[in-house]
Amino acid sequence: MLDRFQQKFVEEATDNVASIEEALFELESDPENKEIIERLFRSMHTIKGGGAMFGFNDLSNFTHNLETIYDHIRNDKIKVTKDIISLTFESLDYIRQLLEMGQLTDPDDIARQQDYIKRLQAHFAPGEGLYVNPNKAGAQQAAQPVQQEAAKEEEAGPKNYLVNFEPFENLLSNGTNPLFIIEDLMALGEAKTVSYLQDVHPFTEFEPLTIRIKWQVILQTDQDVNDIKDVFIFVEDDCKVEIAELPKGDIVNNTDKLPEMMANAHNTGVMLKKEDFDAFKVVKAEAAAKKQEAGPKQPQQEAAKIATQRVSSAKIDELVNAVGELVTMQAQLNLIASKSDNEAFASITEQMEKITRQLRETSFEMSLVPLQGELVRFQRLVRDLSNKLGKELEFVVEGGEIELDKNIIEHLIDPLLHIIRNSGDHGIEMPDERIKKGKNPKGTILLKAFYSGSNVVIQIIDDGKGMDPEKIFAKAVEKGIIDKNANLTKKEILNLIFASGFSTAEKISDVSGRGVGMDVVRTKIQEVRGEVTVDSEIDKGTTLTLDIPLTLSIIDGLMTKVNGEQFIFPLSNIERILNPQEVKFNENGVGNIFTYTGEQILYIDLNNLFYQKPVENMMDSKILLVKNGDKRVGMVIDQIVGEYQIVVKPLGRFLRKVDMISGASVMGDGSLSLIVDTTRLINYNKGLRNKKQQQVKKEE
Amino acid sequence: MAENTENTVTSVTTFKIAGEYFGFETMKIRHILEYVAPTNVPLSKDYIMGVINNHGNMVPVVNTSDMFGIKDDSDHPEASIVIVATDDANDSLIGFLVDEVDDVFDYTPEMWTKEVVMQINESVQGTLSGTIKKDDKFVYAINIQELAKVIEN
Amino acid sequence: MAKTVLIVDDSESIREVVNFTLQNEGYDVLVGVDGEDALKFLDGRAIDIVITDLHMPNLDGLGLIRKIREMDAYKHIPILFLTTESQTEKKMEAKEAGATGWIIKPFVPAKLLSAISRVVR
Repeated sequence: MLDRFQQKFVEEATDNVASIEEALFELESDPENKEIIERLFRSMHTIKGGGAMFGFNDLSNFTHNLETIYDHIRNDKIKVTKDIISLTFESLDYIRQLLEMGQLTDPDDIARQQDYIKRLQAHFAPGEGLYVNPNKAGAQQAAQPVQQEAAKEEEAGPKNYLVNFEPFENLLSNGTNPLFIIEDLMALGEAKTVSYLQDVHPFTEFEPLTIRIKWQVILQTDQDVNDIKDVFIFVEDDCKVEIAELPKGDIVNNTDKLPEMMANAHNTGVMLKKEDFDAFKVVKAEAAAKKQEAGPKQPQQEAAKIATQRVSSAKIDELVNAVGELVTMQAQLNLIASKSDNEAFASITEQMEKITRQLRETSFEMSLVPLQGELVRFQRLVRDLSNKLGKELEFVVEGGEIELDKNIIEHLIDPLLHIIRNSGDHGIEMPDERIKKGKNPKGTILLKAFYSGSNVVIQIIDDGKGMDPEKIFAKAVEKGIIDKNANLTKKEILNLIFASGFSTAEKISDVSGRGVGMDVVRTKIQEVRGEVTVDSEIDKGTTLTLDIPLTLSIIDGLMTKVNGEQFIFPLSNIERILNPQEVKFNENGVGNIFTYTGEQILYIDLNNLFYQKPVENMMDSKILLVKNGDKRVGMVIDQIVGEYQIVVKPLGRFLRKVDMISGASVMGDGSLSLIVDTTRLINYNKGLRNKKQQQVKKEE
Repeated sequence: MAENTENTVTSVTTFKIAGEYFGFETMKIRHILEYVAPTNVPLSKDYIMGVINNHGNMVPVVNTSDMFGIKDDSDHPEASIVIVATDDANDSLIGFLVDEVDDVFDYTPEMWTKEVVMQINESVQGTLSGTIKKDDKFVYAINIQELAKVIEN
Repeated sequence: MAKTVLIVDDSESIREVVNFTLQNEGYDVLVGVDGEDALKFLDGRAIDIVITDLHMPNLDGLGLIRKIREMDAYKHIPILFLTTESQTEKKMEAKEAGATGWIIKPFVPAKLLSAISRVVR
């Protein structure tokens, strides 16, 4: 049965490891903080306890040793050192491995763990941390009764015991019910009980919280003396218990002497003694088994509500996909309903549309996770870097609460790690160099995240030595990426680092090596329809800016037609829809520019761009006014069909280069519409124009 | 398709383009569909006809005869789209328009030769990895991974 | 009538195992994620037993036990605590705070049930 909870434990332990990691960073800068230490200890404790519960004994054992260090710290026996923190970080990585591996079976793994534990134990007095696995300890204990049983076999049959139970006065205050103890004893076999009420206060002085009754139980049982002791386990410090073995035989069922003995004892208050039972020797006994009562069995009732609930991400993905399909079906339904005369059908369809929309929004929100959860990895990286490189690095985060689609975040981890590694390795200078430049010897890497429309912007800003555009230009020429006569702005030059085959690292260092260039970073980011750019000032620092859509899957779009084909524009990009009559086209028709509300606006004729045939009659077309940074661009299309909620399906890697189309969507009637990425389209158009201009220049 | 050097049998699925026989490793084939008109994707390569919806995935379709630069003028009532998986990734599916799907058979090393007499467009000539001779038929084996690389880049 | 058990543990997996086991046995189960959270259930309603972890954020097990013992309605209800080792020190501390007994982790469901049945019937 425990299996079904194992997965949950692993998830929970993984979370715990992450929170330990977080706390560790705090502890590093505030090593005396008791609250942090307490938090660390608690999380370790939870991992240890759960590990043992759910069959991760090696994990539990290891964590116990780690926990012991922190137990010493919180009891002021040892102090937090850099060494301990580093070792803890390392241990956390190891714990993560153990969570994946489960029980160790490979002798190499076991040996490795033992080495690890020795390193942990070096931080506290030897012997103390020796941890006996509770399960194994249990097994040893269980072994004892077996031996005793073997010994018992010689003289088979139940034994008799006289059990004295004299509670201390305060027994009741801890919620113990002494009658349960008597019941438990009687349940071990057959028994007779004598109570002694002599010390009970007279009624006038009655104190309900004190207990002054004593009991004696004559017990005939097959159970071991340990089982009798077990009954008193919770109260052993709150009472006096004596257990004496009596002669064998059916004493409890004796009707001859026993009733009289018991009555006498009860009345006089003189407790029975072992010797009083000598008279019963020789008598043979046949013990009857006593049935145990079944525990309470009731239909299960509603449990208390918990505000948050853990759901596996696979299930959320499933939900999001199903909702995606639902949205498509809904569109189909809407289409049929709009053609139907059945009013009831139309009204139900409308209601369903609302529910579908709501479901879409909820499932969308569910798939968002805060960036925060991943930040520790970056923090960790910066820490490792600063140790490895001998640089002083500080990692600062702004906007960690920003939420993004889980799949997008997963996609961003590697590129971000790479960028941060680059900043630490190549961006930030060595401390002495920084001092020479009049900078703080400690370099800062800032991760800044914020919302920008339907996108999230993530910036990695370092205050390092910056990038030299001249060097980059020269290198790009050398690598054959650009022509040596190319006329580029500074920004264009800097962004050459993303060209494939370019790498700014002058030597492959241990840290940044591995031959991954910034082109891979850009590809990765583009895979989630994001964009990355760089800006840099020499000796001031470098800023990498990632512009990422919030989600990939479902958008509100405006369907249009161009040359008879369906194209969808994300509604969020469209500022307004214009009739050609509302704008004033440049009279000489040069440069694809019109004037609208006094502003000169560039427009793109999609018929021309997509199909190389200019729109036949501009005045019959429509113009979408699209945001592009702080500017606006007009998109000339043939016809507007309507607004749709659509599921974006990527076109895949074979059409990766057609990046001005970000995907396609299956419409209600089964047809496909292509989704236009307006930003990329504008950039593509700009590129075309530049090329044309250069050609014109050359021809001149 | 790799040369079959080991003493095993490998299955090939053959199809006709402009009267010639070509083959894909059967293992790589995911679906064979009757021809449906793909949705055109502007600004894509000329030989990419567009995309089709295959169980919710967008699959690009290649006009194989355009890509290979071999064409005949006859009608192809049996035209089909062969969808192959180039690797294990989600977006590795790609469809090839063929005039007609021909046969599926196993071939042995004895049937294989590295020589390829068939001449197609230079950019894709290298994707023909060998020739399988079955009875009187010559089947030009296509290395799908190599072909995918050409399309992707 | 079904007995009501209040379980308090900051570990979700432990909570789930305990909850599952007890509900299967027909107990009514209330669940608190830490001591502070558990207090909201202690509003005078009938609770037959409290099972609590010791190490928890906000209000730990010892604190919770002391608080419960101060409440008239729950002065005498049995309280079991969960502990990883059979450390006498911890046990004494908890008992001084007013705990009735303990359950040593790891435990199998049968052990949990037998511990409960020692103090509640």
